[in-house]
Amino acid sequence: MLGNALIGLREGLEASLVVSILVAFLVQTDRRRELPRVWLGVGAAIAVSIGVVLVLTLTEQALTFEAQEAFGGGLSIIAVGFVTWMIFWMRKAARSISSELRGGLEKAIAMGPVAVVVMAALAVGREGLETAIFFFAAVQAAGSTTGPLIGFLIGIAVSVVIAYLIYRGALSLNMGRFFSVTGVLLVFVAAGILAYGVHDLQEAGILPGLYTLAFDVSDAVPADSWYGTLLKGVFNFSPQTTVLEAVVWVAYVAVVLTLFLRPVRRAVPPRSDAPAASAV
Amino acid sequence: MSARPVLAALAASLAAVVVVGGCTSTATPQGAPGQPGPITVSASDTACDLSSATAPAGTISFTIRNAGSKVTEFYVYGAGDRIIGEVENIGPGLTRPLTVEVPQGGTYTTACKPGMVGDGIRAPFTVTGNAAAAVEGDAALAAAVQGYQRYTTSQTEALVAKTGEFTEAIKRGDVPAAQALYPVSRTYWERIEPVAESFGDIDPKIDGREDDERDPGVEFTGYHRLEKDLWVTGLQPDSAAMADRLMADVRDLQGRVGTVSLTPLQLANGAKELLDEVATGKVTGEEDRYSHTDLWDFRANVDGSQAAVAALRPVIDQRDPVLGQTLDQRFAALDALLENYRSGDGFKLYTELTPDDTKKMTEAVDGVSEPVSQVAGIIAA
Amino acid sequence: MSLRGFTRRRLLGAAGAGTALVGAGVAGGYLAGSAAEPDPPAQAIVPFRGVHQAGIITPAQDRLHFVALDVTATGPILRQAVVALLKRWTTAAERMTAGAEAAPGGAVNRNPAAPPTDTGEALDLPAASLTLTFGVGGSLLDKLGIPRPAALADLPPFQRDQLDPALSGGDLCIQACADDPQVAVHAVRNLVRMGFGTTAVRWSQLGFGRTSSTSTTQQTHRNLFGFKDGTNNLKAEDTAALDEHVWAAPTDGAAWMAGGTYLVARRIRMHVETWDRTSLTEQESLTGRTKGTGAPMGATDEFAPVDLGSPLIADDAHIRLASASSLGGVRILRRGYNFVDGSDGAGHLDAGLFFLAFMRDPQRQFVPMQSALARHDRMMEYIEHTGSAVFACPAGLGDGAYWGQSLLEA
Repeated sequence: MLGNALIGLREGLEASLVVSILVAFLVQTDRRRELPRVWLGVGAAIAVSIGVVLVLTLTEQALTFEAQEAFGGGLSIIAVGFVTWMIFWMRKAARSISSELRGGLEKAIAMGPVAVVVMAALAVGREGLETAIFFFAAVQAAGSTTGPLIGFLIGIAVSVVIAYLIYRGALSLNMGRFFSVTGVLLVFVAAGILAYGVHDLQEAGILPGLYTLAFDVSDAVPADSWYGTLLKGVFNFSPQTTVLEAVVWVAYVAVVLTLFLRPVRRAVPPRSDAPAASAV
Repeated sequence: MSARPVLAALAASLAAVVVVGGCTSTATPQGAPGQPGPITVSASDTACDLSSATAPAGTISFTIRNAGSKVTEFYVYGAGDRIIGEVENIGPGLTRPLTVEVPQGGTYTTACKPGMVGDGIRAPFTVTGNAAAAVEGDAALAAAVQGYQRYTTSQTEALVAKTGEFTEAIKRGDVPAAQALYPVSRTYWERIEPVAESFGDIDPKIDGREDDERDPGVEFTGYHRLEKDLWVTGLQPDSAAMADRLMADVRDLQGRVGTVSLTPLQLANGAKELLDEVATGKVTGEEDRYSHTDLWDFRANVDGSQAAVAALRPVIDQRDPVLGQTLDQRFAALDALLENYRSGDGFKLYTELTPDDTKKMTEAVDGVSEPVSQVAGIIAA
Repeated sequence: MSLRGFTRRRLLGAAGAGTALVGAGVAGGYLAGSAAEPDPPAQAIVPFRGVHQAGIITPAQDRLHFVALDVTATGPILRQAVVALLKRWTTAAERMTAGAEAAPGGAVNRNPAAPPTDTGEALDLPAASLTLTFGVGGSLLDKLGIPRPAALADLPPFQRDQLDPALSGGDLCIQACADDPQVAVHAVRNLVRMGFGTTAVRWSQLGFGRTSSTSTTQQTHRNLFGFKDGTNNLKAEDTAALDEHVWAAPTDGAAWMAGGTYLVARRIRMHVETWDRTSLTEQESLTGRTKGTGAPMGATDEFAPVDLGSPLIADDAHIRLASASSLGGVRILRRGYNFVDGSDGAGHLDAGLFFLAFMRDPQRQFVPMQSALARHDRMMEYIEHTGSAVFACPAGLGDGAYWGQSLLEA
């Protein structure tokens, strides 16, 4: 029961965290009208994941292991691209607010409707396939024991609650802080997704170095503990991290965080001589 | 772009990934020998019991049931812990399937990882035989096989034609003409020797040596019997009959070449075997001991090896770009060396070679054989 | 690379590993004249990298497989091919001297459709103090268009030389020494295999029963004439003498050879059948030492100084002709091995001494010594030199360096 609940929690968090920040972002910038697109993307990802699993089940086919890993890994790395994009919206937004140019905010962070849909779909879809397969296994087991299914659903529910709390917490921040805090949070989330994608590709044999570990703290942070689950769900932290994973993680954080936090240079000099207040 | 096409595109891309990534049909899952259905794995917090620790090569299916209290994972490892397949997130009470493609026999390792940590509970797993059907999965390899099969077909046609001329000359009693045609007709045989050798009964009849071991009542026939007649004993009363037999055997070969289905691995090994032939039969002067036309055969073996490598070349380049360059370089060096021994339309006789010549040839053949021996491993990888 | 499959056997931890450290007495110590010499532990690993190449002043191991190779690559790719091969060789040599397989994956743990990357005959065998020493011949420098150091000039013909060209010379050499013959042969075989297409074996020599001691911790062994050989050899512990006689200095004329040394290899066929019919008196007289103790004639201790004034040592005794004082102070570091290469087809054993010696300049050290011996040494009646080669063995390798780098990247 607990084990299955933790799996549900982990998979649920991985999928819902980015979505909750995306929703908070849209709400904060007064663009609730775009929310249906988020749900459309989420729904599409869930539908496709379940559809693929259904098709495979009905045709008695199984995805090869490499295909599954390459799929999850590939989508994760594409998702990182989108989240990175979002991080820089945050930055732009933060800067626009600090300059009190609220009117320009809308324009500065305009994002296409397509981007919203794809973003939401990727956030959910990259783990959707694995989750759907797991869900089916749980449903099949329900004939003899309903424990796994119930545990899994509890885990998903908890993850949705946590995501909602993060969303509420994010909304309680004032605008400027909201952008900088969620931006920084997203940098670490995206770095985790990237490392996760790299690990998948290593397992598929597409990238080398699966057994060259940077560190192994699986004794201190067991993967099946609640805190291990939370770390994995939010930051994709893996107790056994390969050198390549660690390198891309550090490189990503170093580059993106620096870019995110660097003071903005204006093309148009401010009218006052006072330097622009940094939002961070 | 509105949301609807986006959705469609998303679904299409997902489907594409699945298709490109490849599915394996598990409609008839392979389990343990004599036991239909997948191999069941009973996993718990302390155990990892397989219903069978062996399976034939090909698609192998497992069904892993987690009866423990911890979430577990199931892995199938190849040599050096390369992951052949894995299934994660097997929650307590769950049953999850795993299908792996194992085209090659050998010793593998299975592991359950209760709690998702450490090396897990490991056990050796034996895969028997080899799945020859891996060709279908790889278009480049399939193309390589087709290309080489065209080569063997055309060489066999030429072999039949030239051997026809050769045997006719013998039946006419025209020794000089037969002597001139002997090494030429053999060229086509030597180029496709590994294919011919795959039919165990043909090679001894066509290419047996006088001192080969034979079953009682089996005669010394084929090229080398006629070679001996032409160069040593003079034509014998039964030479014409022997010529007819050779012709019949060669036609038999032609009939069978069309039916043989080579695997890429056989192709790669054939390329190596041809060079081994050179090292043991030609550089030593063993093969054409009466006529000393070994260098014709030498050239033909190298041609055949080059043809096999060339057919596989796209796959080689895709998987190991450096090897292709090495092969080019070494084959070129060997070609250049052989050119030094040309004489008229053919080659110098083995008896005209000095020990220094054969040493150079051995070095050049070693130089090619080493990279060619790497090809099979790359094809099978 | 996973560490799994790296070692072909469990390497000993630092504690207890009988690592041969030059200058550090091996456990057991040395007692002059002590009958029992402690055998080095079979697992001993000699460090591959260091100031000088291993296998020169390393206490001489019991077994040898020496190979001389010619570079077969020609034309514009010659240099590139040699550099690529030397890099591969260095990696493999370092692995094998540590007791590992020639390449990761090795003999059994790889793709079953591919030939194994290691030939496998040393699986489960310990490192056995394997050393691999690398040298280049003058002929390779000619091919590369690099001027030869004066010390690497071809040896002049000596009187009574019966050299077989097929047993002489070579563009490259690798000396593999180990306490287990199979370990040495395995190392050479795998390196030769890597070389196909770039190099080919010119000649090779197996040897056993080291004939020289190169450390004060070692007992003097006997050659196939039954005499102790190498009593007055240079010793690893005598660093001043080594600097004077063995190691090339930067000022010697070839900067890339600084810290290196020159290797003279001579295959000396011994007519053991005629020697064995020679009286003990005669044997001792033309050697200049007693057969039992190895002491100079007239002395009782093997290590007694050779008194060249003594009438007991004949004018043409081997020991007198080869001694430093009769050669103006010239000394060399001998590291030879006995050999029996089957039989000669004429009813005799093809046996002898594979003479290996390291020195700073063969022209000033080996040449005068050998020309004196060839002309005057009565032992020449019983021996003939059938093979000969000179190689330049560069200094030892630092981290990341490869064999021959100082020469090829000069």
